[in-house]
Amino acid sequence: MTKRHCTVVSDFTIGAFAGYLSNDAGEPKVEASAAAYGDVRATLLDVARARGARPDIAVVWTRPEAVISAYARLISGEPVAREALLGDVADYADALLQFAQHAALTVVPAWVSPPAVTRGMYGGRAGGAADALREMNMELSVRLRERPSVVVLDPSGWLLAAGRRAFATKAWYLGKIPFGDEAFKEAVRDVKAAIIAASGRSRKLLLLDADDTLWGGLVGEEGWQQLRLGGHDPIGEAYLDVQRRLLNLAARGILIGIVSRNDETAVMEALAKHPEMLLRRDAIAGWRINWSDKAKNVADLTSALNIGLDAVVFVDNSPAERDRVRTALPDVLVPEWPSDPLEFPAALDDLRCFDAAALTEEDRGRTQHAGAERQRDERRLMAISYEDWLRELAVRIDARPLDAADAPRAAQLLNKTNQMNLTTRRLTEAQLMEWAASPRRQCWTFRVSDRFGDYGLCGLAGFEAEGDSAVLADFLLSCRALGRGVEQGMLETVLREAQRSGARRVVAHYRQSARNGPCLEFLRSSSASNSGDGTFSFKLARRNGPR
Amino acid sequence: MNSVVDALLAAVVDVNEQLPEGRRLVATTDAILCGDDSVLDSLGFLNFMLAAERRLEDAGFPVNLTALPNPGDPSGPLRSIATLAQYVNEAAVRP
Repeated sequence: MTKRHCTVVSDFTIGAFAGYLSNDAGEPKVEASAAAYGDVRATLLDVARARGARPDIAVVWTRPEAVISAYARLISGEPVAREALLGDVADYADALLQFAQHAALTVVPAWVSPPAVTRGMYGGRAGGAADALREMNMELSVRLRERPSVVVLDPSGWLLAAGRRAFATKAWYLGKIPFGDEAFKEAVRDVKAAIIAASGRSRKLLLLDADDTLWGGLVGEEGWQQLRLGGHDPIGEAYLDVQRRLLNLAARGILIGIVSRNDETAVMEALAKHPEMLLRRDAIAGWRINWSDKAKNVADLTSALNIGLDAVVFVDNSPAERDRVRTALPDVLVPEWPSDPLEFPAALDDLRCFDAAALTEEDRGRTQHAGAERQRDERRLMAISYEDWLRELAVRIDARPLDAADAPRAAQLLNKTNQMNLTTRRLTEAQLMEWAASPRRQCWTFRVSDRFGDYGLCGLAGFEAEGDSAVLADFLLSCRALGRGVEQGMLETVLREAQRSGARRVVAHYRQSARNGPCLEFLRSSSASNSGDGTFSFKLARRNGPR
Repeated sequence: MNSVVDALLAAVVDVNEQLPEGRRLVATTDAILCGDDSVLDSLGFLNFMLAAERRLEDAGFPVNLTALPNPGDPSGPLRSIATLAQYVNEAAVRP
């Protein structure tokens, strides 16, 4: 993956943060440079004006007293009206929104002040610094929300991680560095998670071992009655908290699966019968519970769920199993796992790879969809032929022009879809909406449902007028709906709409990636003429539709 | 002696995490910290001093390096890891 360019704008010396961000070995790689510190509003204008050097990412990290003059007066002891504070925040938010047009992603850490400024009873009262800071941060968040490419991050976790060295008094006086190094390092982790989330590349499947990972004890040996889960037992409570967190992840669209060397019947019985079990069978997208190699099971289940290995996280209490999966499947994220179960919930909390820029309806229904998919597969095995099965499914496709409400999901699809994807072009939500706004372009979304359930928005197609041709910029379909005739339906829509717009042909330039072979196969099997160099052309009749 | 050197070498690692390739200190006692021969600029040197103070404090050798009269003097105790280790050890036994 190529390095992303990041400009860091601040009123204080922020070279350490830029350095940590540049040197961090995790994906995505970032080349960060700190703009000269000082007057932030002037710097924002300078960076925005520097055409040709637009950053992919901007981090704008300020101290509240440096950019909100009313707050500076307030902490100097001057009485300041709430309206004056919020008015200053509104002005600053406007400057940020203007600036944010020039970067694909702008990250803004919320404001903090050292405890000496905000603590005590007075600080929390109306007119106190802590109270003012809360209101200012709320106002800033609300105002910045209007632009999806701007993300406000909460720095309280960074300061907590840095402990008593969160605020660096000495470094401030000597070098205008307000925060300790640990705070900067933690900030890097959240900023990277935000970059991944904004590009729609967050992980979406969490596979876990069962014994001593989801609960304490060996279910096959001891029976579900003896498991440590809940009860008046610190270990049991910790496992229950693990399960609570898993349900929370599932509600955010992360699929939860079990991969365990175990007796499947015993595990299923535990899920069904243990009175304190929170993670019941319907919350689990799939499982491979047998005595086979775990890496094989991880690959097999991931494939069955139509998910790429680079979207998978595998958690196991056994270092040997972790090593096996890590070595065999390098794309799978296998975090180190503590040996003490009391630390398991915190270890789960520490995983930032599930952060998402937005929560869509499709995310919420993902586990349910996986269950419906199992039912479809069962029917498929029973059906006489593939065609009969397709007929039985009764697939419905609803095509609509892309609008703002669907933009988060559309951007997610654009960035995650690999197989049925013509160009694997990756854009942020803001970039996609900007692209689609041109009158020469059309961007269509496709919702799909069948008799087993709703797949949600799972297709996207965009084309651009070039002379008398409509050139496909994007044609992609989530693998969850692949092979059900949906891609043909999408293509028919594209051809019809291109014809309506006056085009005489639709041209698709296939750009090969590591995984988009299915798209090439689809184009080859279509009615398009194939130039042999990856260009496919559909002739459009004036009245009679595609030929 | 070893724990002081260890703390200072840990500070070198700390500060290198912030620095671009080519401007990092070599984690040995010969590493030059200030003067024309050093790879550190003024901010890098300040960050090293702060990291060294933290590491030394954690190791039980609290010192105030930034309070030295001219910390960036290439003939002073902050010339190299070796001279700094000697200074800290002497300060530790001073009554």
